[in-house]
Amino acid sequence: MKKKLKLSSRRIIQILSFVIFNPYILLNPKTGKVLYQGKIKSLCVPILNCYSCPLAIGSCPLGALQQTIKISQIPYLVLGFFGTIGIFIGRYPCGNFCPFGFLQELLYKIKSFKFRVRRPFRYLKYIFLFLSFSIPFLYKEPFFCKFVCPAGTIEASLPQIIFNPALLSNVSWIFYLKVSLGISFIFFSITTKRFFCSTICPIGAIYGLFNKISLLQIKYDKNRCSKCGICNAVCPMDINIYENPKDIDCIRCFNCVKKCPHGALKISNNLKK
Amino acid sequence: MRKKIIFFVLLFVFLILVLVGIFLKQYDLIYNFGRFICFDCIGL
Repeated sequence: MKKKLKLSSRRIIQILSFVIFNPYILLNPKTGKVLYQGKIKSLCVPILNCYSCPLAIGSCPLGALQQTIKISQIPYLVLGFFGTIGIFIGRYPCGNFCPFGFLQELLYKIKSFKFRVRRPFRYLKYIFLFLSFSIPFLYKEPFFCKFVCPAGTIEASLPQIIFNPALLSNVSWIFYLKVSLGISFIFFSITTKRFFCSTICPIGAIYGLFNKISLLQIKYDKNRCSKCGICNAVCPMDINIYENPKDIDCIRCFNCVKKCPHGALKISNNLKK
Repeated sequence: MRKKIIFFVLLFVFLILVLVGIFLKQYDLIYNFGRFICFDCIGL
């Protein structure tokens, strides 16, 4: 018998977000242009989504942040944008809107050996965040976009080269470095839950800072908890949510809230008593 | 009460940042970065 495909509400939101943030070529198959150049590009999307992707209609906030610093301006708009989203919903965009996070969750479904990211490695993303501010400022290079971002490789480099093979004659060693990182990213995404989100993503690092104070929270009732571990097993970030419901890595997917058999975890408003 | 104060102060600060960004027309900068292929992003 065929297995029925059942999508959770979060999966539907993830698919919708992917389509909403990346509809360009689907909407304009006959324009012949491989990049959207309309006015919506002046708006940032709340997630990592390369603006050189042939599908993208919005700008990547991390790219915009680095490019603004690169030209020696303070990125007021992007910082305010991150802060306003973070203060309300913390890392919710990572768990529900980010197409790159969605891709990692799909890759993790591939059967292979699996391993966990140890706690200290999860703080690596703050080093990447620091470098994303300091290198554009000191050396006028968008460090993360140029040397690291596998989203740029997968969403932009490869599709742009497929659409315009002439670009291939201009590639430098950086392209090969990024392709190698992209392949490593795919390997680690198959073996580790949301590897990129937990160890590298500077956007996740920024939103994570707001998890403790954001309006949207998970409330933990220790009297109801039997520490059965179901919440840990279903967590896409592999965190012990009952040890710290305000963990910087919690992406607010609420899998733990839905699956907890004792109702020990609830969605709550941080301002309520 | 402390949580509420922290929340509203931070919200105020971030909204001011957004307004300053809009006043400085940083959305035009973002548009100019995004409207062309970013050769840094694609490794060229």
